[in-house]
Amino acid sequence: MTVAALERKPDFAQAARDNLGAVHAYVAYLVGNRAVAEDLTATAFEKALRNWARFDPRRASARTWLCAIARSVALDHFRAEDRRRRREDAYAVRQEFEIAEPGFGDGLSPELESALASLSASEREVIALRVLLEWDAETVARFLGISRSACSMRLSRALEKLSERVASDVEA
Amino acid sequence: MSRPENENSKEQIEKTARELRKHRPHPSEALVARIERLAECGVARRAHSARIQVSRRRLVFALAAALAVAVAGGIVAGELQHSSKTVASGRPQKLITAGKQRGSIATSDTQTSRAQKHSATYSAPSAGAVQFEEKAPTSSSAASGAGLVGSDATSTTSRNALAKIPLTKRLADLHAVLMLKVDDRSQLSDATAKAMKIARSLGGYIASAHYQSPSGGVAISTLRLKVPATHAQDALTRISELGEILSQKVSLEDVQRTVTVEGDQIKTLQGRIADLERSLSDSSLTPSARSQLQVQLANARANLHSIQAQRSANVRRGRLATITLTLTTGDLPKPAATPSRIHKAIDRAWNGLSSEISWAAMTIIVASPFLLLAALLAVLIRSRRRREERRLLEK
Repeated sequence: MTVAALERKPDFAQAARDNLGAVHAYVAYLVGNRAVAEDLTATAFEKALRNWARFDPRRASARTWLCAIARSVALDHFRAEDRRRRREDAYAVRQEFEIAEPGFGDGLSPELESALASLSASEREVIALRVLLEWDAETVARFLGISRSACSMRLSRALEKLSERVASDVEA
Repeated sequence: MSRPENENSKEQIEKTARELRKHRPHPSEALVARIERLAECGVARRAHSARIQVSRRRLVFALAAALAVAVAGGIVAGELQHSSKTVASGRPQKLITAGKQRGSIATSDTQTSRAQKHSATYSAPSAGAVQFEEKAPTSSSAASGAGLVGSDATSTTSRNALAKIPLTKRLADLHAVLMLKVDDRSQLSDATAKAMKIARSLGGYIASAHYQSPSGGVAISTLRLKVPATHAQDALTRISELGEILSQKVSLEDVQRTVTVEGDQIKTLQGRIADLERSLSDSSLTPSARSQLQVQLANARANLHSIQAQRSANVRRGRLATITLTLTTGDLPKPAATPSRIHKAIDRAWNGLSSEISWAAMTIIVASPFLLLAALLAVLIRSRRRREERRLLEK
């Protein structure tokens, strides 16, 4: 890395403070569980600290880089959960854990909370990135490794589904 | 969906998005404290991590340096190869200057090398036999003591040079190669006929004759003449007058010593055979001693026959000179221009580099199936991982 790039590179402390909220919100939407999201966010930041030397600000912003690490940590969590479920299906009765506290945000309506929980992780992920973090479609598409049109399609379908479910819950 | 419904839906989506932004999840204080502690560690680590950065620019520099090293290696390898060849080719030269010629002389003179500086190359093809080839014939010192042919390069002086072949009464194997140019095809056939006539008139014969006259091309006549060694000088002088000398090469190898040695061996063997025959005539010999003597006698006779045949061949070789004459209507092909030192250096460097490239190519060829397999494996693992990720996120 050049001297100029090193000078442009923020220190980890600053990057962590600036992006903690965004990364946490993203992880919370991805996993749908606040407690798990807190743990995974902390794990992601620990991993980021270990790999901070590899971060190159010319390739991506600190936020994108941290979110990518958080995504990989969340995927590892999903894999572990998947394995656990399969093990339990094979040897014991599965135990479903109740979500004790609000999963997606403080003060969200129960209808919206429930509608968000009914979406798939990939749908919540695109909502988190485009709506909460307000990334542009191009960045999100690159981040998810999909085309821009696929990204837009996924977002619009997720939002439509969310609105429909909220509306039907309100009507009910 | 109708237009008002569509607008309602859009409004609903906007409203939902606004609400989501408004009630965005915030990290707990415990998490903030945990990250703060991590951030403090990050400050301490920064100085260390900066040192282990490897930039792309450095990688480019490293690649350029590796390329430069490869080129330099190629040049050095080429030069080393060249210098080792030079040393190897230089050895016989020392031998000849130390030992002079031992009974064999060969000399050549070509018109094309007239303007060149005097140069001589030596080689020692077999045990004791030494050849000497001379180009650009101004080497009076070399020619004087050893009986070398060739001084100036014009046809006349070349003819004079041919006339100076040091023929003595000793047996010598003389082989002359002459290339003469004639004006046209009719002269070619005349000159061929005359050369044959000269050989016959001097008591020789035509060992082989080949005449080639393609339409529109250069006509060539090649003759292999055998003439008595005593008339070789005369034959060469007369034959060289048939056209313009393009090239000439005369080699002279003394066979007298060999013939003398063989004569001595024959005498010794004849004496030995006479002794053995005398011994065998003794009737008091035991059967085993007799059989031993008979074997020895048979061996001695076989040796005698072999040496006699060899001596006859050598005598024939010494008595008859061989003249290979090529008559042509065209010129000798021009020799390639001598490359300059820079060109030679570039050539050698290129040779070195090409050998490096061939090694690299060989390595790639050998490794390519494994690399391909590894790449395929990597693609498979990646696609499987992506599928798995999609599956996990669809839940």
